[in-house]
Amino acid sequence: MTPEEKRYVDELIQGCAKKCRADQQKLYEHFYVFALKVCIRYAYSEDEALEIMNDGFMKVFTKIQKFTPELSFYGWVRRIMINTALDHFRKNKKHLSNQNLDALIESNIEPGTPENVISRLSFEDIIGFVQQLSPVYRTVFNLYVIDGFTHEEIAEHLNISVGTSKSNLAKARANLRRLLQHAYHEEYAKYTG
Amino acid sequence: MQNIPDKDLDNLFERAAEGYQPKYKPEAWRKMSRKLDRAAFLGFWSFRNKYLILSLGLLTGLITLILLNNEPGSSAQKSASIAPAQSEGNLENGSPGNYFKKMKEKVEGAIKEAEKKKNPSENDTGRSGNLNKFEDPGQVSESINNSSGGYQSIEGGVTSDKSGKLQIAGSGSQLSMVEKLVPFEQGFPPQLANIHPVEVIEPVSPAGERPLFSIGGAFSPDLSGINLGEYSGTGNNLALLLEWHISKRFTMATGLIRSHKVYAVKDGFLPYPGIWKRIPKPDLVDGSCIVYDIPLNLRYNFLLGERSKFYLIGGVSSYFMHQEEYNYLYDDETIYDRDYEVYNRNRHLFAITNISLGYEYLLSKRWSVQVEPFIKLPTTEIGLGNLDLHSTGAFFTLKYHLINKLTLK
Repeated sequence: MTPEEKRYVDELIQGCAKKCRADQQKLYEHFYVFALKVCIRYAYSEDEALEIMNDGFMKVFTKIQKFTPELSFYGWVRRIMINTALDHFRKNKKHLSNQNLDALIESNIEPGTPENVISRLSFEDIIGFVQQLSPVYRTVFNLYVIDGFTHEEIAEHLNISVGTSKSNLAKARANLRRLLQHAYHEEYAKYTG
Repeated sequence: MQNIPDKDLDNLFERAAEGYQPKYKPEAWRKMSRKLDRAAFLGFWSFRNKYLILSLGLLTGLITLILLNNEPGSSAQKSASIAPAQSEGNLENGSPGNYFKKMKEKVEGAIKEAEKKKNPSENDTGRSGNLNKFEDPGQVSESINNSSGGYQSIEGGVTSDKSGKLQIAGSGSQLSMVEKLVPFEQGFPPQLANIHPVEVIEPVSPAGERPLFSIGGAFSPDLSGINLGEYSGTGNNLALLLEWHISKRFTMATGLIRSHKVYAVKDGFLPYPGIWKRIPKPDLVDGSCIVYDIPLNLRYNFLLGERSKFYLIGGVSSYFMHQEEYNYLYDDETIYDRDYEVYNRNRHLFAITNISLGYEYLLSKRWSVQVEPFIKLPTTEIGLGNLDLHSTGAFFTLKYHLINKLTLK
């Protein structure tokens, strides 16, 4: 964060602490992309991601007085978004099936050239693969690979064993490989007619 | 593709997560704005405000009762004024004295008028002269007894016999009511029948009556922590209480207390041995728990006044931990803070010792208020974090007594 941005954000934080709606909107818009990038990885769809993000911003606005200015506001927002995504996961755990993509993807896909496929995929496509994972796999994969949690921490957060966390990660990776393979197959088909 | 190494796969998704740039959607803010509006509206009815409103309601109720109590001519005030004198058999300068002075004046006036009618020539200072000496109701009684006339049917407090003797009947709670004066057969004037000095004088605790059960609602702030005097925030307790009056001095009490405990712990929070080898030990754990507390207490009234009681309570409580929410906080910002929440996982039967000291004030025969500072000390480790969590505060209680006509023990 540049000094100018920090000053701007600090002013917005002060305004939000006074519940100034205009400052809340500015802060929301300023951190929108950053927050949605976090939330979208934990959600099945963009709508669900927006719901998580807005719940996260609600926490940001209601707890903003607790923010310590010496800390990174980005880091604080990120933590809140991840925690909100985990709350969302826990809240909906009863309704989430642990289905994986085995049934959705053909298992005997021919191996292709990964580099070619990946180079043609957009970031959005790749994030879309993560969204297609089952909720548990998606959450474990995000926490471990992208957000840097340990298996012990994941086990603690999701109330599962460390072994289950490791197993879920392995299955998440396997499913992502299959999705990439599937994507490659479709791309290949486009070019071969 | 199936053989892409874990590390490469992870890098691919990390890059995508970093590089992905979703577009801003204005409708997202509109939804957020509506959410903020709803929260602002509901915020007024938040738990804290609910308790504030409830407390204000209780306070208003109390003030109303007290004002009613002090209203001239109200039965409550009469009972308040007469009761102490009754118990001591000695009516002094307070309200009872005023009442009897008024009564005396009315009786005096009536007697004068009767005398005038009976014997217009007789000096007005005859019988009423004696009455002028009255300083208290006892004297009223004595003097009227000495008089030749009499008053009939002064129910309860003032009675007369056929010989026309008027007297303040007995003392204590027997003195309960002076309904009206009616002319005696010896020719007392009919105007006296209209004299209504007091309609009802109701003692706070009439003889032969004592509460058998009491029900009550209570509110208390809750300070919870590991070390006495070190508290991170204020929770609250809402209670429904039931008391069984075993005797005048002993009471058994139980009920249901919904307790919101807020506390912070630097050391001692240990969900299970070895946890801090598995995950980093937090610098602070913020706890917020909803606990259902079922107390079983014995109360001893060590000081009994006419309207006041001072008491001691000892007993045990069972904790049913409904919701436990913990926030692991790290000073090191590279470590994520985390929330942890469990429901209905821990219960502690008869594992908390209750000690309290209280004061109860009887507003009327059936209503009373009490204030009761308390401390709850655990005899076992409480909750997920296995903490020696004590709680303290002061209950403000409004009680309703279910009267049973029994002889006082």
